[in-house]
Amino acid sequence: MSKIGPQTQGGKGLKRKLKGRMIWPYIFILPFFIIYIAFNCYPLIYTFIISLNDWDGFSQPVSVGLANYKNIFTEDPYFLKSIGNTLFFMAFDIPIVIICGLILASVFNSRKLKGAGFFRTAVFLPYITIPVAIGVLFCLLFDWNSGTVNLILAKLGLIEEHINFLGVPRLARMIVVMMICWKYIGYHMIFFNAGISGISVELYEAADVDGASAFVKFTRITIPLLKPIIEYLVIMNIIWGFQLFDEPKVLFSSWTSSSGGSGLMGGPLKSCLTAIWYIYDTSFGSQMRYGKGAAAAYGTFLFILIFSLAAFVVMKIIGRKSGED
Amino acid sequence: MKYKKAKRLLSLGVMTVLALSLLAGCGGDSGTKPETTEGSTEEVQDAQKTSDVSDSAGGDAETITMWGWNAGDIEKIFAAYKEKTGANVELEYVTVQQEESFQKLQTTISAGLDLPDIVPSEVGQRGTMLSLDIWEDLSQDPYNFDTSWIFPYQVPLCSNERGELVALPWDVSTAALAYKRPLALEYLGTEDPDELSAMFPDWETFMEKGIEVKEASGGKIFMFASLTNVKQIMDGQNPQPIVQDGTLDMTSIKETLGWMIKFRDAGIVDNILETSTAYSASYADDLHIFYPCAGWSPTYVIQPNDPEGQGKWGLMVPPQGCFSWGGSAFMIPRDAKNKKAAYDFVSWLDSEEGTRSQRDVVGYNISNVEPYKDAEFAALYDDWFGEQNIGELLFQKAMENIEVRPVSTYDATITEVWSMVTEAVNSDKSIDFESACSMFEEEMYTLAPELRK
Repeated sequence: MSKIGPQTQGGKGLKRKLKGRMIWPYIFILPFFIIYIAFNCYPLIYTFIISLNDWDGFSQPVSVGLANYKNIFTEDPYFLKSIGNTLFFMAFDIPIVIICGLILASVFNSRKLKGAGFFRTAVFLPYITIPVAIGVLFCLLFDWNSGTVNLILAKLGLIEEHINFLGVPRLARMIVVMMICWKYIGYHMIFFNAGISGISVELYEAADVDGASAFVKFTRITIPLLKPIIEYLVIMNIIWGFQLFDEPKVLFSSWTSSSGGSGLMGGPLKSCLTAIWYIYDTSFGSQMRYGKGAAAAYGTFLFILIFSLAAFVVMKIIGRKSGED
Repeated sequence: MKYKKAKRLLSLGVMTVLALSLLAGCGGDSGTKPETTEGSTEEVQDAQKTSDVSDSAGGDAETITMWGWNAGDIEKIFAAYKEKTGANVELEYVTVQQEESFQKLQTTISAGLDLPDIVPSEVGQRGTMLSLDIWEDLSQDPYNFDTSWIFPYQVPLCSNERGELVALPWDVSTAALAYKRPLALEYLGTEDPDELSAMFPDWETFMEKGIEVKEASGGKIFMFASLTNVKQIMDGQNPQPIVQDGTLDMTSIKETLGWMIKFRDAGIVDNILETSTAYSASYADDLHIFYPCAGWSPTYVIQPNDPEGQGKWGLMVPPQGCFSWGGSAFMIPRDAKNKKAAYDFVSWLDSEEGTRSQRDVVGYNISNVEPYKDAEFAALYDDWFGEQNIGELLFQKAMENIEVRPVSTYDATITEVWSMVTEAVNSDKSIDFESACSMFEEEMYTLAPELRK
């Protein structure tokens, strides 16, 4: 029998562990971390470094400290305007998509409704339509001179002069809200649909026995049980809302120009300029300022963080209050 | 036991393949990548400065890499080039969307990737592109491009702010004023281009006549469909630089904006946006008389939008002369691999032989001066313009007094600001001359704060 010292035993134990199953979980999750570091952590750090430089992507970057941050928050009026526009869109579209998605999901789950599958598909279809097609569609619908909506309103005698939907800032904003709602209501409906399917039928049957109306069942059973989904969607909508880019961009791009006319950056008087569009235009558009674009990206991140946390806290407080009630 | 080992080995193998395939995506083409780190453009530029011009003569065929948006036509042109010159080269054509070419250039450089041998540029972004210190000066050794080959107006459109000729023009971009003959005859009393040109010696007369047309038609007929057209023509006629030595000069902007607002208030321009479908549809209607028209407009704009308009169109010299609109040019990056072969090709495009060949194979009107001295070559007929020789106007008359504004680093910014102000002036009639000018000025200083006041 040979003597084995504690160190040798420990070394062998580690070796055994490495050879044994202990190592495998780490190896299997390693690809995720490699990808995470390469595609998430590195760009985050690199973006921050760029934000401290004045760089057009071609010449040598020049370190400017926090000047880009100072510029976007105090000198360039369009960064804060783009955040304001984004908040405006969110203030309208988040309640609409959540409320309409919830109502539609409830209606389509009703046993009395026939052909619910067809309606669900119809409402969901806009979500899988490509943004460019949606942009062209809304351009055609709301064009000042030849838009279908103007033609119908004029034919019905409701207007004497065509309305410049895409040229007047407040109207253009409403069209963007409409576009977003039209596209995303179906997506939200699918979430609620999954949630409603998970609610036990017995709860509704018990409510029926107690003589509860459909409204009471909706407000007292459906909504409370869908609270986690609602919370998730509100938080995600705030994050998605700040990432809004495609819809307004395609609406004011020159897809339909036959003579190579340039699109209108940010819509009429930049009324539809969103935070991401601002970042895109600053970095890759007319300005070519990578540093300023990167600073705007961090600035936007800050707003996303603040608003997501605020929403989270507000919902926790509401949840606690309703629990006490 | 054996089974367990095999399972473990299989898992390890799958994981390795997965990880390697993912990492391969991050690798890029290390074999051809310049030896620089990201962001170290100084090193890139140094490498560019010291790299030699490659020699295309002899040996295996060189492959020229070219970006662009005319794949089909370029293939035909390249085949003609090889046939005429016997060049031992191949072409790798990478299709890039016209409006994305600048972003592609920017991201390619900042990512440290290889640039192609030939980069195209459309006039709207050309000034910004040419100002980058990455292009070969084609007027210097070893190229020594002879600028007398091309029309004189094209030289400032292909030179950067340091005066270096860093691009070679492709097509002739002179533009005039197209009009619908039936409307001209009915409301202006003639459809003859010379009579119409004589009728409108300046924009003041044009506006007065426009008001008469408006009154005679009960407000139904407009001189132009869009204010953008007015901007396009008047701004194109004005050679006064907008930014000079880092200072914003509003002189030409004020002139153009002044006319745009006068025309809008006089009601002689419709409110259609150039980017809308209504604008395209306006070519076929009987409500708008005049449109700006470059050499490419009949094929790419008028014919598709007015498919039944054969013989319905005329072309005249606009009040105060012709202007330049659009047009492409090619640049050769300093660190391109096949610079000489690339130059041989793009300079052939601008040669007399190249210009004639391109007319034959794709019907393009290219920039070499010589062929246009021949009245037969300069003649250009288009079914939409009936019997009128529009080539005589675009390639001969227009050259007599055309003046262009030199391209500038700020061209992309200026284009963006023009779009915003034009839309605002078009949509809101309460915006007067003063507020439109202030809007333009403020927007320029916001987007380019380094500009001096």
